[in-house]
Amino acid sequence: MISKTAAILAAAMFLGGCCTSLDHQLQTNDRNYEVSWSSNPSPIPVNDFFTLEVEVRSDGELLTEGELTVDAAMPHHNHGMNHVPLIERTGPGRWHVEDMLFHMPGYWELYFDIQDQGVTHRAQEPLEVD
Amino acid sequence: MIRPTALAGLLAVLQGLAPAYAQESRTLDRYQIDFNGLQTPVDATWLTDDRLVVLESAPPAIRIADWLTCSSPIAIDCGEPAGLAAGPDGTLLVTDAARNRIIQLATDGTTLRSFEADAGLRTPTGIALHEDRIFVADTGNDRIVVLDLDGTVVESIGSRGEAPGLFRRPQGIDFDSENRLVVADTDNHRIQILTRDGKPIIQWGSWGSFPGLFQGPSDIHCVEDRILVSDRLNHRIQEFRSDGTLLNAWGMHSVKPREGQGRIHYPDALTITPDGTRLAVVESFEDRVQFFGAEYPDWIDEETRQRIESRPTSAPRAGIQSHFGPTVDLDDRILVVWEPEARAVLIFDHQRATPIRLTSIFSRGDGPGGFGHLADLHWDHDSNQLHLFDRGTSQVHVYGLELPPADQPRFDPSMARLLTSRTLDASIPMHRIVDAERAGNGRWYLLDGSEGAIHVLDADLQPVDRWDDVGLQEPVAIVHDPRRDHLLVLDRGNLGIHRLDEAGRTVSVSTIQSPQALVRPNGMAITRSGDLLISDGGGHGVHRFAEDGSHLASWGSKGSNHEEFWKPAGIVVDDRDRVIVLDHGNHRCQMFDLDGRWLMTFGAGRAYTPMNRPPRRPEDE
Repeated sequence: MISKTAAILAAAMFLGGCCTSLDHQLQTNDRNYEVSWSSNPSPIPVNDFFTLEVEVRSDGELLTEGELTVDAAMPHHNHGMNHVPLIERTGPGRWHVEDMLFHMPGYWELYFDIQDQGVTHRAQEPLEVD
Repeated sequence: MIRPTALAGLLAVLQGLAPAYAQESRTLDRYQIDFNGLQTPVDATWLTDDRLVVLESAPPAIRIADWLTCSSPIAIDCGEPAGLAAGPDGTLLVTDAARNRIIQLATDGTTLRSFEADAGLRTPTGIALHEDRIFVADTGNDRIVVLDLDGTVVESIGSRGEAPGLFRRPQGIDFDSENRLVVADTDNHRIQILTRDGKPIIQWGSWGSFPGLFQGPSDIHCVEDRILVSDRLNHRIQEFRSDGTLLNAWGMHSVKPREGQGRIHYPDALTITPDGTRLAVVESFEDRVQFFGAEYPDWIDEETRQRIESRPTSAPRAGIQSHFGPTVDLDDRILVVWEPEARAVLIFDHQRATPIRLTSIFSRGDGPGGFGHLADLHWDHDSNQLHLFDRGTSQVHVYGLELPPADQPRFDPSMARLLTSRTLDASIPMHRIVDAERAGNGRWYLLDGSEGAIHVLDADLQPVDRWDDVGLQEPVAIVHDPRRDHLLVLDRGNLGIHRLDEAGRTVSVSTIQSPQALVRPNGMAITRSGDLLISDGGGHGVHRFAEDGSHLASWGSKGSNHEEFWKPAGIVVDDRDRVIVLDHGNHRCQMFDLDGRWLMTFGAGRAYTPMNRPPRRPEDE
């Protein structure tokens, strides 16, 4: 049986190599990094799992070092997700994220935390999910 | 805290009592009585004659208690008492967190010996005697130090970290029935069991409120195969088997300060009678010790039992209820307060008649930007940035705020955005930092409370200097005097104000002189004209001094009504010379003018002013 990791990597290589369209672009809150991402399915569903493809650049170049953490929260309700996402690096500056779940409709914030050279930089996306 | 197993067994035999926890169902969760009106009790231990010794820190003292009575305080020569253990010879061992030493006392308070700083202790807290060794939770060094009975260090266990066998600010230690070392690993929010020489065996717990999780476990006590933990910020006691299985949790959180009768509020320490039948829970925040047990011992007759149960309990109170922590900052519009239990930062607009909460920053778990235990927070007026100095995670978090127009204040939970979260240079001991200040030159000055040092950082938080030799003993607060570009340091150790220039040269040192002696100064602020305001957590008051140190005004006394305080902590003054005091023990902020006239009491969602006083209720009388 093919392993989950191998499947993720294969899918990511296929998608990254040909037809991924990262349709959301944003900067970290301190404007030092650019983050592009897309979800599958899109738009993000309520109470159903989705995946993310994420790309991080610094000065236009894919980030060769550093780590990415992805999380989300509903700040009006002071809670986050009830699943811990699985994050796999698929190449320089590229990550595939699984097990994302927004279990409630409403206003969510999606957080991309980039750890680079001892400093965490956050990019965040406001999302209305219904 | 010592649990002399052999003596406990002997005592049990002599008293004809059954061993503790002989039955699975036996628990210690029934409230019996409390002693309130103490003076910041921090630890307690039972003597072999069934009397309880209570250790107090503000001012330093011990008290001796039996079932019904508690003695007056007996003064001891100690900087800041933190932990207590009783030896089989009837003497007491006390950790002195301010002077980094261990002292041995007689029960009349006489100092017999002092183990000085050969051990290199930093803020020692918990202490336990085991066989012929003294085990000390060397909290500021994130380790356990083992000394022989002469005070010579024979072993050091662990260092700072999260892996098994490492610690973050451990505070409570004890030994279980298998002679294993059990540690309340406070800032890792877990319990660790190690071999006597420090090899990790098992650990459990992480941050959270569900049963089995912890928020700052502060002390532990082992009885046979059970481990009891004071789970400080969850306001409860948790009881486990020595394999980590949760057996029981109790101690309903106080809805209001001063409640008692089993409701627990910030338990700092706990100790169990040698026979395992009675538990004392020490709550320094409440100036109280509460007692729990499964049943009264046989020698308590019915009359005595009725006297015990008819003792008055802690007085309830009315008013604002917000879990404000000890740190606060402000400018002419924004007031920022730390809320430790929710790991949240609350941000108010204080320009209006009463403050309006604009947003709250809640961290989520221990991930990036997650809050641990904030030493200080700093609001920057020009950049609308908030710096949070986190001694729990050893990080500095920087948030940017998009404030609403001044004439349209509104609550917006998304107002704050995390910009960066970083670990400072390894030379900066973030876990020992007690206060931080930014001067007009853009540099940061971080106060190391254990070492008496000041770390100087540039605007990008990179270290540029360290001042070790400015004569600080127990610094607790630092403020910048913009009129002279001086830094002022409040030193609790010598009750002094150290005035330094921006190169670290001492300009002056003045001793605080007030008609009302300061007991435990906590916070300091400077007015536009250069007057100094100091909050006294032990004396429950606020004092104002002129620049030359002369006394100008004092106000406040211990209590829960408006104009009274319960362990005031952070203090700031705004551009309208309004003094805002974090009335920590009353879960509220109070606002005064410079002469101490009460202007307002407020919390996260409610405010009272002289024109809008709360209705009086029977329990307020």
